[in-house]
Amino acid sequence: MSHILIIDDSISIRQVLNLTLKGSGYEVTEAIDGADALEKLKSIKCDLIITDLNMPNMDGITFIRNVKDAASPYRTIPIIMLTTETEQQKREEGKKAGAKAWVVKPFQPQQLLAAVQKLII
Amino acid sequence: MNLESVKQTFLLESEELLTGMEEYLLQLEKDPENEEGVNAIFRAVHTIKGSSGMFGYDNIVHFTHTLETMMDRLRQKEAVVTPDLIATLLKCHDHIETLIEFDTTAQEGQEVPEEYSQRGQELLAELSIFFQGSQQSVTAKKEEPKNTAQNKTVEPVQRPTNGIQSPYWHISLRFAPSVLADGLDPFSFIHYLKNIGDIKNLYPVHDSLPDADLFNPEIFYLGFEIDLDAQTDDEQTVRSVFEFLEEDATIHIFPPHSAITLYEKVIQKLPESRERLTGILMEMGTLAPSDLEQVSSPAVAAIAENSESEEPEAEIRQSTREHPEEKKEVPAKISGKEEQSKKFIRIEAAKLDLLINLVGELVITGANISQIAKRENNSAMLEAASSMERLIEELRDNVMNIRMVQIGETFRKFERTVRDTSRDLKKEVELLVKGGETELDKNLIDNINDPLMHLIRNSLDHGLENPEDREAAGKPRKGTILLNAFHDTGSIVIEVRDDGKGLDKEKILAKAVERGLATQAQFYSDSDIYHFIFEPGFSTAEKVTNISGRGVGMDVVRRNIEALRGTVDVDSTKGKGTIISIRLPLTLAIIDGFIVTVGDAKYVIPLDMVTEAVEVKDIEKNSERGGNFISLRGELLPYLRLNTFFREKNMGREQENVIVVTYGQQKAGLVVDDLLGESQTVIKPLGKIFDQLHGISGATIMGNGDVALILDIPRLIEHAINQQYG
Amino acid sequence: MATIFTVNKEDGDNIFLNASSTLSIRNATDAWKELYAYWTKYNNVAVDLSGVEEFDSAGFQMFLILKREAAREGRRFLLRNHSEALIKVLDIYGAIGIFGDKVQIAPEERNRFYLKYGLNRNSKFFGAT
Repeated sequence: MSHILIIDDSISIRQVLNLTLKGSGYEVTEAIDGADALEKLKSIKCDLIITDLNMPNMDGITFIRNVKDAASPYRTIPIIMLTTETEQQKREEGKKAGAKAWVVKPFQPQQLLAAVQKLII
Repeated sequence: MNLESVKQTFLLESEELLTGMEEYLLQLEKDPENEEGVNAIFRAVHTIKGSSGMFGYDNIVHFTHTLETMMDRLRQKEAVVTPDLIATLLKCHDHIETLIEFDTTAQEGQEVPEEYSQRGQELLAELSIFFQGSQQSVTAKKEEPKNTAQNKTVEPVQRPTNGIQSPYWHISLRFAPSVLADGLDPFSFIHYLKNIGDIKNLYPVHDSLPDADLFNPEIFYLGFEIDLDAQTDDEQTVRSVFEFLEEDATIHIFPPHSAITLYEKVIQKLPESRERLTGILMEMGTLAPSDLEQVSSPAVAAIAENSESEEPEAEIRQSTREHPEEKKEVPAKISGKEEQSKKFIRIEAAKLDLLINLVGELVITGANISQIAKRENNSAMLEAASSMERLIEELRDNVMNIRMVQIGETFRKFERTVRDTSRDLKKEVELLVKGGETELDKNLIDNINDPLMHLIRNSLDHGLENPEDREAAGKPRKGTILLNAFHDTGSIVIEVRDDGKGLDKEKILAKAVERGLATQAQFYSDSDIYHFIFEPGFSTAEKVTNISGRGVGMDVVRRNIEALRGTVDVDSTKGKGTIISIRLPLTLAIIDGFIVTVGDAKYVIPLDMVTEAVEVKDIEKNSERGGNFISLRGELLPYLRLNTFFREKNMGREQENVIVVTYGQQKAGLVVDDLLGESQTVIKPLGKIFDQLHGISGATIMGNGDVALILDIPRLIEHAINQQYG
Repeated sequence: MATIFTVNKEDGDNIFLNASSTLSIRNATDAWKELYAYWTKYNNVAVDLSGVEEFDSAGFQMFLILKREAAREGRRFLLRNHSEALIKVLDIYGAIGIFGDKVQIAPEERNRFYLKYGLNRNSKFFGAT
């Protein structure tokens, strides 16, 4: 069973994501921001990361840079960014930092699942 | 945790965010330079928008989307924080609160009150005033980074004249060396193809794989050639599977039967040799020897040569590794959703109706001008008028086309009905759908819903047997209902088929006799007997259930369909099932008509029902068997004198014009006086008082302002056939 | 460094290995280092894959390259007891025939795989280059 880490400062978004992903048979861990996520990564065998970009504390871009750093043990984990239309520039930054996939908010559960299925089996 | 509890979380969280937003707004009023405040407000709006979207609260998304854009611009200091701005933002805050309250308590399907959306628009308009000073307009900002064109032009779809034989899509993939290290596994993308089709063949191209001692396990060296049997004909659907790979792979997608020249072009760009690649594609069965022979024909060879000279060998060799670089210059990739909104726009149905009315008027005016030109005998004007008429015709077709909607959506809605009803009836039923892509007029779709629902319920209730009875009859326990739609000579046919017990002819006839609709003595064809079920109050159901057989009968179905200028037919085999077919005109508003005169009046026959026009001498004398038949090339054709039928005066001609009309399986000849030719006809529905008017389905205004009646051909054919027997 | 391949049996020129649960980009560098060391030391290598839960394109590529070397040099690189994760990849990549190992799938599980193409390919597949 693949394990997905979801990172968003909004609890309702986390819960919706959690519900959607668990419903499709994935194991889910939640984190509230980038710093929390880096901490959580230490204790799980993570297959995929889904992260918001706009968060207090450590934002999505900084988090992606941390994960994708050449010395990071997590650098090969695929990342899906949750972006909005207004965040085109941020999304590009995220892609440059190494997050290759994205889903535009607001999205339907199927859209998210499609993105997930393209990245992990 | 379930969706309900998540909604509660959403409510609580939004309350919290809105309270925070209010506080920050009030702070900002005192301290306009407070950047953290602006950020926090932006984030609150952003989060509410994001989570509302996931619950499908589109009205909130809509409002907060624009608000978020404005807040972002406020962050960029494109507007100055003033007390007035704060006041407006506070009103926006209140509006979000109202919307959330409505959405979280609304019943399913409850419409958002008009006043809410109006209020939202007013507020956003008010807000936009504060941002007018800056250069970028909200819309301009949105449009700019998109370019759908990029996707399309990467692989121009040439409708091939020299297409290959393989019926499958072909996908050629080469990857950036870093693709694996970037966290993208080509396998999961290819695995995902299962969602859009069936992989027919895949060839791993391993030519770039180095010797083992030079192998770096984090670098990906392979490429893939894939044949896919996709359930789509939209290239974008196939391409979107590889959306996230666009910077990490070179992707070539060939729709089925792509031109061999397209393959040639791509083969030249790929790192492997032409010989090697054609070898692979032949082995896979993508290319057949006959496909390649085309290339050796002089014309195609010239094309191939041409592109060769454009791209010298050295450049062709630049492979995967170069491509990502090229693509980086291209502006941001667009998400599926945005693309969709580019492809489709929602418009109010009323606006479309208005447009169609205007086109209707234009058709009439155009005909008027043509007539004047004819009368004046001005050749220059005649020419202009005729080309205008052509344009109007094209405009008409295009406008009508906008109203065409696929019926699939309507069909799918019945899945729920079938599921629930069959469960209530303790029956096992599967609903199959065919021809969902068939298009028909939006208004027709709206009006066909109820009759279809009734027919399906009928099939469920009376047509299909209990699982036990089916088993006893040697049928599978599970019954099927098939909804099938297709085009057939100028009309659309929608069938409801079931594999149930079929209609009981004896029972229907007995009932018809009992009700005085039929007599024992007379002979009735199967079709005649089945038609009795469309008589008012006719039901053979032994017990009334609450699914069907109560009040609303098949007569209502027939009336509804006739009101749409359609007909309904039944066919049934005892023990095997029943087919009810509804035949509808393609459109409701404008048709191509054939104008004839009968006595002093003009009548219009829908052109797509006209088979031919013939001249016949002494019809009565020629009539076969003394009945109302004329012999047309050996075929007996029932006919109808329209001047008798409409009580117009008889011109008493020797040589008479007969228009042969067809509807479904039936044919008849209509005897008319003069043929005036084809003309576009705008159908104006007749008022209620004309409901009882037989043989007329509508009226139209001619170019010269005259009114002409449109003939109801199905009814007239029926009449021509019946007068023969009755 | 965790050991990814453990020795089951050693028999002169031949070695029999067991693979651990992950063979993917996550541990590709280490996995290759170990596997290639065995490959250079022994003439024939066999790997038992029954414990592999995570397998991806990186793992596939590793096996493909050794299969190719084996075909070219007349040596043997054998895969045994494929787990479902493995068959899934070999199946879609049309490589079951190329690899030429015996793949066992219970009849009731066949519909979970394509098993439609690539089954007749064999080690001649490597011949073209």
